[in-house]
Amino acid sequence: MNITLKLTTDDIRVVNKTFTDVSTALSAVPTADMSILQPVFTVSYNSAYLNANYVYIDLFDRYYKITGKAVTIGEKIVFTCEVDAKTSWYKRTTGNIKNCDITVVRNGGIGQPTKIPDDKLPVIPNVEDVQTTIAENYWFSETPSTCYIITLVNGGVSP
Amino acid sequence: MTPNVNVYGAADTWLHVLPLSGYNADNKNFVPAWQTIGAGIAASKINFPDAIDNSICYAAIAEDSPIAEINTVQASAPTVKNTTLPVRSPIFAAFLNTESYGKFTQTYYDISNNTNVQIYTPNETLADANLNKYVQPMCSISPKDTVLKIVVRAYKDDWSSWNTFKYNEYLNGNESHPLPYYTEYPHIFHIYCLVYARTENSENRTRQYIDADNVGGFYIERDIEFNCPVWDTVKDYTLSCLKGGAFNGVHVWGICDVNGKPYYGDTPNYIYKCIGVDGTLKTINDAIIMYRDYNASDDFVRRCVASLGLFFCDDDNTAENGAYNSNTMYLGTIDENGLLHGDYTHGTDNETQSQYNWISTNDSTYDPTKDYDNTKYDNATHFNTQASVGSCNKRYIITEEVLNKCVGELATALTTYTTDTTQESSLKAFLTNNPMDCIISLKKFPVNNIPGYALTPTALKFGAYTSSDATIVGRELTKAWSQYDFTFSNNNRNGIYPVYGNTFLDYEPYTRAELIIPFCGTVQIPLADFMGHDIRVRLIIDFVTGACTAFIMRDLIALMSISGQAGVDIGVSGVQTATLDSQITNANMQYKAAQLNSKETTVSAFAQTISSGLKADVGSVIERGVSNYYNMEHAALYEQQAQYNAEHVQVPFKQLSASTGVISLAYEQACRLVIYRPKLSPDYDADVYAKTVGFACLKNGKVSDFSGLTVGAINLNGVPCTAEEKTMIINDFARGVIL
Repeated sequence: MNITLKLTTDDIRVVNKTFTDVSTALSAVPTADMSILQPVFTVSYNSAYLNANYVYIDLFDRYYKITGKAVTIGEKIVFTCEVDAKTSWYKRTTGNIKNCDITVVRNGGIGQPTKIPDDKLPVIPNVEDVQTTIAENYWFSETPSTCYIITLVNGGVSP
Repeated sequence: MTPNVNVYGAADTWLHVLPLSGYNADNKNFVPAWQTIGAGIAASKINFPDAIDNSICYAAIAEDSPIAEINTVQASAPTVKNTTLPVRSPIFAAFLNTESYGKFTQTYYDISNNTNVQIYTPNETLADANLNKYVQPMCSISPKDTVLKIVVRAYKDDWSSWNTFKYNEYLNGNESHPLPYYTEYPHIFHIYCLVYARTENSENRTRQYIDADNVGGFYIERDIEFNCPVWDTVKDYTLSCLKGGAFNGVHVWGICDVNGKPYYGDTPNYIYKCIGVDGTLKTINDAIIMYRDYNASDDFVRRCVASLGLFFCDDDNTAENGAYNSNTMYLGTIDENGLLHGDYTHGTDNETQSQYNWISTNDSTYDPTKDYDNTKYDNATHFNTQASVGSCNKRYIITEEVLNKCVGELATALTTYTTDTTQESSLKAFLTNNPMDCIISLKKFPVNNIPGYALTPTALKFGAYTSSDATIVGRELTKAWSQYDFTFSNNNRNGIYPVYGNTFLDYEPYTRAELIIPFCGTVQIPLADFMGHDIRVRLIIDFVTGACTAFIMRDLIALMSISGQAGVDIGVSGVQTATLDSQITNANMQYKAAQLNSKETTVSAFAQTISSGLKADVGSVIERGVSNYYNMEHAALYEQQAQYNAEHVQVPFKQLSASTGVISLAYEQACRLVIYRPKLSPDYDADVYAKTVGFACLKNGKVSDFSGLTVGAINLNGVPCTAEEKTMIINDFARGVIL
């Protein structure tokens, strides 16, 4: 089978990773029965290959993280890999995950908080900005005076 | 809203309007899709009294739209609009099958011959009825590939003839007629649109006018209840005009009939349908029209077409080639409730509207099941005019100087009537043994601005006695209460407005607001109710009892009230004073007990919910996130409710707070709004936060719609990976990925 060793500096969480090729397409040989999810294979030794941290296996059309490298007697390099499922199925031309429905509860791309409360946002506890404003109509005087309302009996007869 | 799959089937079963000229059949993204209702064309009828399932509706016409009204008019009674329906009707596009003559809408009724009517909407009782089988609603249309061009028909100033005009020529004239046509033809009696559809799947699109004569038409329909005095209640799918003759298009305003001639009804015993507001009926050559004169100061014609919520224009060139953000391209505005009011944008402002980015009308968020009908609600609280004070006793506004003289004056009055029977004299003169009791009440108000009193002071009259001292005068109070309005207007940025980008930080419990109202105290107000509105406080002071109530209004609607005490009773005898003091003390104690009891139990529940809400695990991202939000929100609201209840307890007598009306003298006699806002840590960096934590949200979409750090629940239906890989992908998205 052919494999291509690759290098990425992207965060492990990046879905659509960017790769630079560390090798051309190489012929690789499984060391035993090879799992589609955790393949192990050998290639001929080349010191440059040791820089790779990802590999693309054309037989499986998937991308794999290289989780182990070992140089063996006989100048072979054994690569132990684990599938990067999200990257593999994002980059597929058909049947990929780009059009899958998703409900997102956190997103950095929106750029700012939303109306959904965010308990991780660093609000300073017990500290508030106080803004106060007075009404536009100021009916009463700044030096208020008082008045009295007296209610008196109405009526009676002059003696 | 996504069409109901139980009615219309899945999207991949929809039929695309392939035969319709003007559409590129290769690109199904923008070809309108329709569906028969039932199996086969003969069965695609709507049975009375069923309606079209309106899950295909992309917006609704609001009551204030210029096309919101539908009337019935009779040719023989040209000044009468029989039925006026202010409608809020969802709209959808429909395809006219070429096999029909287009008679699928109910447009007139022959009242002289019930057996020979042409009713084309569901009515099983008449011979020609139920021809609605040709109603084939569009499950989706692409707004960007369907541009409407406005056409008007107008009569000459002297009513001698009429003509048809493209709207840009009506406004500006053309090469052969430099003057605008409205100068000669001011009486507009019909407004409609021609439909232009995209023909190529490329950036340099052109559109072609749909020739409905050959291949069928495309209309904007609407689903309304149409109650007519002669028709039964039916479902009326009409806003359109029909195919036939030289006319093909979308009818928007004016009278229409069955033959695709939407300009006059010429049979006296026919009742016609008349769409739109602000029209005047007129008989011309025994035909009835509805017309409206062109007015350069309003934008009536465009507002009618804008009420369809699609792209539209005035001229051929824009219809065929215009960019969607060009200055001559307009786009009807759909508000946040999915309603069309007749507003529109043009030019680059079109890009701010949701339709600009729609793939199809299924991208609309309008939900016809939510009947937000603000005509059912009042928009102002009705306050009565001031009432007069009864004349049984007299009330005067007096100064302290006059008050000081009053007691002495009573003594003087008694000596005036001194005889051996002083008690009898007192009774006759003051109606009481003790002359002091002719002062029924004395209240001190910490204001001097009391509207509703006589301007000219008059002498105080103590029972039958009027003092000869010309300085013992007062202004007679002729009204029982007065109101004082305090306003925090939204336009002046004096009200409550968001400062954190209208996010959760701008609302409770993170931001709080309260009003300090003279004589009443402090009341917390809910931000969600007052954000972006005028806040008005109407303080009404009762001069009979001294009590006051402040009504807190959002714009003109009173939502809350708080009571207080403006006037202070002054005891004029020892007995009176003792009674007053004890009442004040009791009231204060009752209030404080109520407040403490209600707040204690709710605060502990709130704290408990908050602490449990902060836990998080990967397992069920959505469930945890949504339920935590709900719990926090619920507890916060519960605590708010207790606070609200405590503040609005009607204390039976004097004060709501510990202060009295006199103490209020020390505080400013103005209404004050206080807003408490949270502060973010100075170390907070939105960019870093976006990349490391991500902002809390609740959005649905496709994976490709999002970018940056994304945490969510993904549906992997249709992805042919292994089960283990699906678990990996689901878990990765639940923990957070970077798109």
